[in-house]
Amino acid sequence: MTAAIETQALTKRYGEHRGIEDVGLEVQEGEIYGFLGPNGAGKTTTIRILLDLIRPTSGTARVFGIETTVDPVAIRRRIGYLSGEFNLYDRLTGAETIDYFANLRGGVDRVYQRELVEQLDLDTSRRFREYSKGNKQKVGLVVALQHRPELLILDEPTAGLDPLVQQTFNAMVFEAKREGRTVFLSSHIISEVERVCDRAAIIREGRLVRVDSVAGLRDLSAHELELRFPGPVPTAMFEAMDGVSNVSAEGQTLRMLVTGPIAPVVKAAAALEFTDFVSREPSLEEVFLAEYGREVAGGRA
Amino acid sequence: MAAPDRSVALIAPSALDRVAGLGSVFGKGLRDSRRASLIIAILLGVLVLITASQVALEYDTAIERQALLAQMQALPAVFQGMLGEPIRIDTLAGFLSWRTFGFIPVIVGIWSIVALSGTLAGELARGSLDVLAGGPLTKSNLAIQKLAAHLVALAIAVFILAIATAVSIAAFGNLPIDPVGLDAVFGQAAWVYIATITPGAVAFAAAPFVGRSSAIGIGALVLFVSFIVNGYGDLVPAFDAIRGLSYFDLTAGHRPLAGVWDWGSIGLLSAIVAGILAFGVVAFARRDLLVPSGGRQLVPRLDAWIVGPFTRSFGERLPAALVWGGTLAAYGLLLATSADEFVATLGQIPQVVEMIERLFPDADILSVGGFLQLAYFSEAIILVGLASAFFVGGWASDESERRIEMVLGAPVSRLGWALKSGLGVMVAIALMIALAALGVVAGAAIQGGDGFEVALGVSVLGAYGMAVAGVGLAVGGVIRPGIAAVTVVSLTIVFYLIDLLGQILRLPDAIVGLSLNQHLGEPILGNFDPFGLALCAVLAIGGLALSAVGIAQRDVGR
Repeated sequence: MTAAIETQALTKRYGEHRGIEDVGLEVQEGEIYGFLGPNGAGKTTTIRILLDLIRPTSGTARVFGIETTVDPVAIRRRIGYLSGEFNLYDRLTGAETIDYFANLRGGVDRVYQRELVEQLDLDTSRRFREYSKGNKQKVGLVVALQHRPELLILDEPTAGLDPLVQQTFNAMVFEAKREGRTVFLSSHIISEVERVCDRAAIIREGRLVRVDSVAGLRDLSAHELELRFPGPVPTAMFEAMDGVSNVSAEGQTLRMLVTGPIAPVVKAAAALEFTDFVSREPSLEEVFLAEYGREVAGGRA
Repeated sequence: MAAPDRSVALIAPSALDRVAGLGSVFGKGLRDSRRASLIIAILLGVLVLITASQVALEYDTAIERQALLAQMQALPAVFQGMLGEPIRIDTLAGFLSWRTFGFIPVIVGIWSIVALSGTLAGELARGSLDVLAGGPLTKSNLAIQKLAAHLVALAIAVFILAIATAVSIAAFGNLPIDPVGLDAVFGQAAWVYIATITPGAVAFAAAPFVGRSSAIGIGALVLFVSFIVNGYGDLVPAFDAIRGLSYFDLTAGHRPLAGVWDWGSIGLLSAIVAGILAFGVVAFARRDLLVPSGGRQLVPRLDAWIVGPFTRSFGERLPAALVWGGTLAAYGLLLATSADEFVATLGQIPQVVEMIERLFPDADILSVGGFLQLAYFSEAIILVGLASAFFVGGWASDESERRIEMVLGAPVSRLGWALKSGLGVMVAIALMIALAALGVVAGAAIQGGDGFEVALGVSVLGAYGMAVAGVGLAVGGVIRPGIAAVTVVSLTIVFYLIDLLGQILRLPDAIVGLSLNQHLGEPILGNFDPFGLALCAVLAIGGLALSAVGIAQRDVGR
């Protein structure tokens, strides 16, 4: 099966400034792929290369097997794009704006277009310049979705949307997945990626640092374990185990962090007599912050 | 919860930062204006220096100066036209006052309009004003600081111009009648300053109500109408009737470099400008901080405007094309309907007829066409250039305001977008000229002139507009969009100045020939310059193509 998006050693430099460095991505058709990173990490640069708005300094990017610099129009025919920072025509109304982009694609299913407008509760009679930020974002979403693209590339799609509309947006993304379409969602809102994505990549300072399923990414981070014993706490035994860190005892309660599989720790604990066991799975946010925390601790300390 | 530590010393901005840095709204405004202010000052200073040196070189005896004075005073009003009465042009300072200072308020006035219309309305549209207004400043304080920054920036530019003028007169004034005092230099500079601010003040006051684009239009209308009715009031009865409203007419008696003083008129205009600016500040302070919706729709809503990049680009430019075209048409109509009066007057001065026939040997100067060539074509060309810059600026904003990102998310090639949207600019220019031609032809027809020939002649203005627009598109496409419109404005002004000053200062042909205006022939008289027209076509088509190639090659939206 052809990957929807595939980049190899993708690098972009803006003169002396870093853009992205050696980015290798592979997004499979039909998946919802999260692209996580803080502001300035290189998310938008990567997306703009996929759209052929900017050209890579080195490396290649392919969308549906087509190299972005070779036939960008063929790619754009099959994608829907929402820019992270965009502006549209002040004088046009929302309806005219949406129709204009439909026309650029040679027409769209008007019934579906209307459904999107209704789902997002958008008043299309007002001029674009009169819209609030959230309503402008809704227009952008309709523009990106109205032609049922095979691949949705969404850069910070929920910026400015209220929680109710965010839910509607999530439903739209899931519907796209059900229909076998692919979604590439760039965001710095971790809970959003955690909620809707199958896999996610974390980009840091222009380089990919982690790519895995959302569940897999969580496993990479330390689980927080708490064991309660009826008698003395066997601290030394757990401290000696691989993957165990930050072991601390408080009364008859032992706390530790376990990186990687927790089964060996559970087995060791089961050999002893314990009265209570609590394990807390890390959130993606903790994974993300841990990645950046490591950088701060290791790289700059 | 512990109270915050109040003993921490706050570092207040330095006095320098408050005045010309990031220490205050005023300081930031002045800092942002410094480059434009210096560029304008240096350009004008160099212009004064060159003019003074050329006068010293070409008219270096009292006899030659007297001959020049006699020659210019003998010219009919249409030739004196835009420059006003040639007072004491036998002196170097008088010549500078007439030939150079006469149009400085027009050139710098454009900057004033653009800056003062945008200082609040432009920032409001961008959203940055919301952030400023969220700080501990009243809206009127904010408006006054931003306004003051522009007024000081302009004062600095005019001060440098005055110094350059004083130095030029001291260095090149080689006749006993040439020296003038600093009071005359700064008296003239005061006129330049207040006349430059006037249209900007109108744009500033209008912007809170109508938005930036319309405010620029209103300011430009005030500037050009005032300039034109003052210049042609003697010839066109309709202009004469409203001449008293022109601030150029009001201050026509204040030319200190020529030894004529009228501080009363300067004081009156200053009071009027202060009132307009105060109105603008109060209007800004009292109104909601909202981007004006723009009021009525000038162009009907049609599906045609959203078919594709060409119609979108044309549709975006259409309202402005109608306004610019309508203005040019009205100007042409008024001039053309006055043509018979002019021709009759001219026919009574055989020496002038003889002189004009020497200049235009193949043309029937005692005709409607001859009048229009002299009075309309040579002045409308600067308006056409500025309109073209306006259209190119709008085109470039698709990229600088990031609309292009969404458009190129659709299956549209960069090359296709650039060609089609650029073509929209060219068609807007063509429409503007078609409208202008309608006005001129109607006026000429009333006077019994040959409508077709006049229309053909006016169409050359379209070729000129497309040529300078082509250069702007090429620069915007190949380099970056932010400098596209500036390039067109600069070209228009440089071409105009070379054309205007080249002959009278007897500049070398190689320099005068650099102006595209020199290669357009006298088309309303039926004299076309094939080389010039071919050059226009190459610049227009080549510029459009180059723009498309540039956009296809470079990173977009950076």
